[in-house]
Amino acid sequence: MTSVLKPMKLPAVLASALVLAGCVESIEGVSPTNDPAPVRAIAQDRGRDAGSLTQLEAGIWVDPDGCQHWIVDDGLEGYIDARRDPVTGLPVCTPIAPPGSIVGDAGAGAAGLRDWVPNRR
Amino acid sequence: MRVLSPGLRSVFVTALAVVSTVMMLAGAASAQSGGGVTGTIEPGIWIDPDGCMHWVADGGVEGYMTGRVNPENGLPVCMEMNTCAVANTDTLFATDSSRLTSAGRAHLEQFFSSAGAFAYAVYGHTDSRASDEYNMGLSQRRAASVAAVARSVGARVAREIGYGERRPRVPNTSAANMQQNRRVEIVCYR
Repeated sequence: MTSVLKPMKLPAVLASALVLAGCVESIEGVSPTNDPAPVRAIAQDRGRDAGSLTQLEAGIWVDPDGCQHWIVDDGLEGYIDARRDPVTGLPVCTPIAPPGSIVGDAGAGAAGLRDWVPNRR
Repeated sequence: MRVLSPGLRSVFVTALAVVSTVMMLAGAASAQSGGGVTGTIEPGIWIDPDGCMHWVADGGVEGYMTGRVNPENGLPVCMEMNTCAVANTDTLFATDSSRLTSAGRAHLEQFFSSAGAFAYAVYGHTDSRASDEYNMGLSQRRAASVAAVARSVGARVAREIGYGERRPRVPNTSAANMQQNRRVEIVCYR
């Protein structure tokens, strides 16, 4: 069997993994756990743009059926949830923009990190 | 393409149903015995611009969000901040009528000309007197009358629905409560 990693490179690989982990820890305020049932998520963002999640700024995304969803770009996290009529709970599907569109500021600029988007070929 | 004979097909379908039922039962059992609680989430509440609540939690490099609903009726849990207008129908219509009074029409024209929303939802409601069927019809006609005023001043109506006596604001236990339930609600989609 041939190993992809040469033994002498292993320390370097380990070191870069540690650097990467440290980077995520310092940016997002997370750490590894051995707890079998940890608190997996909380009401605070402890990352670079730390703050209470009650303060999120939302835009609107129009889905392919034309119905609206609140969309929030909070840096490394993204949130999306249906917009529902407060009185009847019905979906809100008024034609404010073509399907697929994001309307308004979903907050990407204010999240403390440059916004990265998927590669397109 | 081969077609199964009806007899064979029904055997095949029955076998499939048995297999899928067994698999579902096995899945349910393993979900119940499969290790119990594997963590907790301590969410906050985010209130959207319509006033409705969402559970939200940050997992470090993941984010979670889901709408908060009333366990009794499945409706979203919302603060009363974006029900643009609630008009008591006693001032808009005569009893049992869906014809607007002139004062009621003027009031609505003024409202729809100045509210400035992208679109409106109009919901009609009655108290619990008269039959459910009658009240469904009356509230629908009243919602339609209000929606027609909106359109007459160039406003966009997203939906107009009559709920009759089925969605009371308060129990129909007194004259004052019944009056509160006779209403037209207008939601602004901004």
